[in-house]
Amino acid sequence: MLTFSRRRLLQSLGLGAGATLFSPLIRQVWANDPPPRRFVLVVEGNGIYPYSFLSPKARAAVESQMKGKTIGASRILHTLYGHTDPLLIEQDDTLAEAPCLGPLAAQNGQASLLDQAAVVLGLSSTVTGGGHSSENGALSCARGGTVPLGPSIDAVLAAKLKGKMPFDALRVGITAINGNPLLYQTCAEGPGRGLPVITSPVTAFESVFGSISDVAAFARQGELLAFGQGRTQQALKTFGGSSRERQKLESYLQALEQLQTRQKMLLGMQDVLKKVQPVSPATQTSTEPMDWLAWQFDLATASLLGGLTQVVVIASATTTGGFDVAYPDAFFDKVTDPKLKGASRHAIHHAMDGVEGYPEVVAAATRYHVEQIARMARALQQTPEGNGTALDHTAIVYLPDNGEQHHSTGREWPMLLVGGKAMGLKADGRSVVYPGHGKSAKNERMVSNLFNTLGHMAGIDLDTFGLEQPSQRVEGPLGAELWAPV
Amino acid sequence: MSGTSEQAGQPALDTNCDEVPYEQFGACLEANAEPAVNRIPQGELFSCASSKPASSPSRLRRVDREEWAHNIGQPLTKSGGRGPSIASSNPFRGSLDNPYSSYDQNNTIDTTTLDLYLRVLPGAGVGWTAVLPSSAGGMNTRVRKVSQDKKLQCMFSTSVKPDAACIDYYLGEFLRHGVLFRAPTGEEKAPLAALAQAALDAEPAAPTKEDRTLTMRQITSAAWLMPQALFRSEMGDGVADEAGRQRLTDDELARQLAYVLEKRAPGAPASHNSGSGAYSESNKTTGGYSTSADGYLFEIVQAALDGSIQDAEKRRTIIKNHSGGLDPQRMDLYQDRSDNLRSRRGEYWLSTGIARFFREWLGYEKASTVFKDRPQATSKFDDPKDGAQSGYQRAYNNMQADAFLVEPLLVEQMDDTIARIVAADQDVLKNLLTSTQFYVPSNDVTGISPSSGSYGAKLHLPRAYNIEGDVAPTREDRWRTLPTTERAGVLTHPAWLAAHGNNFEDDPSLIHRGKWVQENLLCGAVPPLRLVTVAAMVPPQDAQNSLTARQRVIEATHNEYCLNCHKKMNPLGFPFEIYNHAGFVRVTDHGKAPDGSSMLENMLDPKLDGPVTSAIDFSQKLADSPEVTRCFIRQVFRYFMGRDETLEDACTLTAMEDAYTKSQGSFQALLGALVASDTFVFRHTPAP
Repeated sequence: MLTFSRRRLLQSLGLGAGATLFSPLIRQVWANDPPPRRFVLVVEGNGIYPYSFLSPKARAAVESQMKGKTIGASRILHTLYGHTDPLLIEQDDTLAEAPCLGPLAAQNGQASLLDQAAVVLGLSSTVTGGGHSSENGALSCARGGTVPLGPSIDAVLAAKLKGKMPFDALRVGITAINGNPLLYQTCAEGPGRGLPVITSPVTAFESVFGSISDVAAFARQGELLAFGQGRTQQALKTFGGSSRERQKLESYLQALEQLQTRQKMLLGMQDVLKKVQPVSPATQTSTEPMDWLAWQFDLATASLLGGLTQVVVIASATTTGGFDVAYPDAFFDKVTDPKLKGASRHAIHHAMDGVEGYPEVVAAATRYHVEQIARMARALQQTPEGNGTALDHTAIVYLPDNGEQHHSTGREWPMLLVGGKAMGLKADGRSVVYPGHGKSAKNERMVSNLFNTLGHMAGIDLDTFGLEQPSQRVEGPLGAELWAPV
Repeated sequence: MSGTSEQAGQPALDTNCDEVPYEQFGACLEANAEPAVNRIPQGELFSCASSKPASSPSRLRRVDREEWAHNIGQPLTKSGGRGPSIASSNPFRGSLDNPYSSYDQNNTIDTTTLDLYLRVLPGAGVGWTAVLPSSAGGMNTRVRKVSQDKKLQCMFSTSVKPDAACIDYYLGEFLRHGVLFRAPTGEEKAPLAALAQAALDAEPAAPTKEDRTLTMRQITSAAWLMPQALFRSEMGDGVADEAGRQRLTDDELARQLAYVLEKRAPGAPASHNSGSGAYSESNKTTGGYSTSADGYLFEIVQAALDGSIQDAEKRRTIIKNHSGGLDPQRMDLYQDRSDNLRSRRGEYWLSTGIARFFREWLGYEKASTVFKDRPQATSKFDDPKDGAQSGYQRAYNNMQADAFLVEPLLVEQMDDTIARIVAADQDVLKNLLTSTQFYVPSNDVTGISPSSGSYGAKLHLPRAYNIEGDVAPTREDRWRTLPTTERAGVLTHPAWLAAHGNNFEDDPSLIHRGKWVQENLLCGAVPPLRLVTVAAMVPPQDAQNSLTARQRVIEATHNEYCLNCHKKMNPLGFPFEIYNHAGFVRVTDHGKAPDGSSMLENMLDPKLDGPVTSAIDFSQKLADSPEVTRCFIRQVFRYFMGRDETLEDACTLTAMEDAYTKSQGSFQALLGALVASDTFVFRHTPAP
């Protein structure tokens, strides 16, 4: 059973009636700093069907270029595109009618986010190779695999934005791999150097809020870190090995020091932490992956509002081994055969066209992710910041970790963008449909172009992110159809 | 094998061969084929021409997850289906980019890893901190030494504050038997003693047992944060010889030898097995512990103490004594598996290090996680009327994940099959590649209701081996000699076939299997996909469902461009098409007879050239090839040295080959030659 309540976060944060509780906190954090630039990458494992984000108006615009053909029931679009210039669908009053974008609409007293969102279709990233998962390839725009070939975009953004916050980046998620608290195959610091995603909500929560759940234990940890630091410094004094081996000890020493610094920051932010902390997952009993995902969204939202980090990755069942999660009963409403309810993602995908209701299960999963993003966006939107809201200073990007389908070719990567207007993102309800892979050498755009755009939004002159072949890509950020420098 | 020794072994270039002139395309692929170490000409590696004394680069090795859990006296997993132990949740998993888990190229401790480690430490160390040894029950009680050494008890007394002598003794024993696995130096002990004293001083005047537990946790956690606890030294000591080599110290050598054999340090403590009941005084003397009070591998501890560890013959003897053998009790599994589960395993055991080598070399552990749609498809058990959740599917899933805890997993069945051959220690590789003796699961359903979910899941367990009848729940009946027309050796084991197979029976499993043979039995190199820009997709199945996997692969790869790479894989994979994706024997293949025929050409060993009819005669050919044996020796070297071989290791590799040949294929002799070598004992500081 899905036990998560959409109201729980707001209740726990005291934001139920559009309160501006966090405004003073955020102003305090940013009083003497440049305007904030926050980035949230929500990466869903094993594909997002492009039709999920296709509104009726966007569908009509695409079909108008298809020489009399129609999209029909196709979930995959890139093979159908007939246009060679980007299609821009503005002021789209049908966006909420896209199969999975309903949660963005105003409902139950909650504000609409339709004027805070943008849909991007037609981006490719064939270098990743697609498949069940491109592993590190998705966020690195590199050949997919368990060994990262380059840094992931979150690491690039975090390196630029790290400052006075305890966490350079918060990387959390869920996985179908049992008992593995860390997942190293989605984010990377550089070639061969994976960065861990914490896949246990309890562990992730304790990592962020451990200082207030047990202050005494946190203080004891500080003593331990100081002890480890002293012993490691001593060991380095007498170490006579190669520089490469020495680096191992130096990395450990750096971790001991960084964690002490983080802990001191967290201990100095107790008031903030107490105000923003969500319900601890340790007090929950659900074992549903989707509930766990919601808890990780709670944690991420609280971390952003509390000024604990500017970069978040939420890896939802990414990687080849980790995508095959089970879904709650509610997702199977349209499945008429009771024996076929409860299948996990892999089995659902392979039987999609033969089992009534299975396409709706996958759509429900995508819609659920949009719902979580909407919850996060609304919490940010309700928090004034500068001349606007915290959402204006936060760009949320929802993308798959392999491309357009279960066995992806990497030829289309549908994306949903929310927020980020203060950084120039034109998330105002528009859809942008690029020509698609192989349709126009001049106008084909890749995932790396979007990541270049994020780089520019963060203040980095990032024009060649990733390892896509230079001869096949157009350098630079996406154009004025989606973003303009601020 | 291509490439000269000058260019061989170098990392592949970051290039795309599609961008070079087409006449250079093939050379570009060859020059960048992977793994790079396989581009070293094999003949040169087995030619001991160098007069330069052998040694290995000095290094620090970060502990791995299994080592750390075992070294603090905890199981890797709790038996009886109660989930992993706290200690096994430690974050020290090895990097997936290493070919073997023993490699340690870049393993260190980042901030997130350290953060998680700190959260594991307090609960995981209960074996050394438990004031009330029975409070947590079973595994989570004290390690044997803490329970039985009366001189340690003063640390747990809350009525009398531990004095300096008590602290000193506890720390001495703890550092030696729970952290460093050698005698601590004064520099290591003094700061910890100061921390312990401070922690005790900070206790309330009348501390409770909970207060003392917190104190003990602080002391042990601090010790386990010492760099010496987390990074094992292979640096060597003393004056360098003329070749710039330094000999490993007795303690360093002891630990290295121990890690060849076990995922444990020498003297790693015994713990209590909950499978034998809850902790009690009687259990301490009736076998409730995983090993003797001296800990694991005590022979190595003694050899380090008396210096005999430096004697090459002593090291060979230790390998011989601890490699494996016959043990109906399966004490090797005692710490991690319950009595009930151990009794269902085969009676032959291997040291965990050796067993781990075979798992990783053959790559069959993946059989537990690769999704298999209709595992019985195209076999004699295939019935189109069976739904997606047929008994065959459930049985197969059960062998992958053991939801009902009834029989050894598919992976464990292969472990036991291998253990029998390796423990016999004669013609090991040949027998591995040709034996028809398999350890199969029982399908005894006595006492299980036919309406129970576990009934079908158990009834069909042996079908993966093409066994139609019943297999009794005895070791004797689980050992089966399978028809020589169906199976021959590890490459025909369902676990290996499943691990290197895809999700569906008409998927291109043969490419994965052929690639594995090329890289791991022939030590050949295959150009990686990133060198080219291809979709690498087989054509879809036709409307009549008439295409075999073999046909789909040929259709996708028959052109000259694709064959540049696929000629290295497809011919080596075709023989396995007599099996489906899950390792079942095919009886029909989309209306046609299963076809495992292949023509082998331009093989590293010319004797391998020629036709084969299936994986059966293919395995026999491989077993007879000295070049395959050499490749096997290279894999042994890589795993147990934790690094790639180089031309400077040629004399050691040659010695290993000699030992293996002269001993008629003894794995113990092969490994003995490695641990006796200068490569194992000496270190040099590599150039930056």
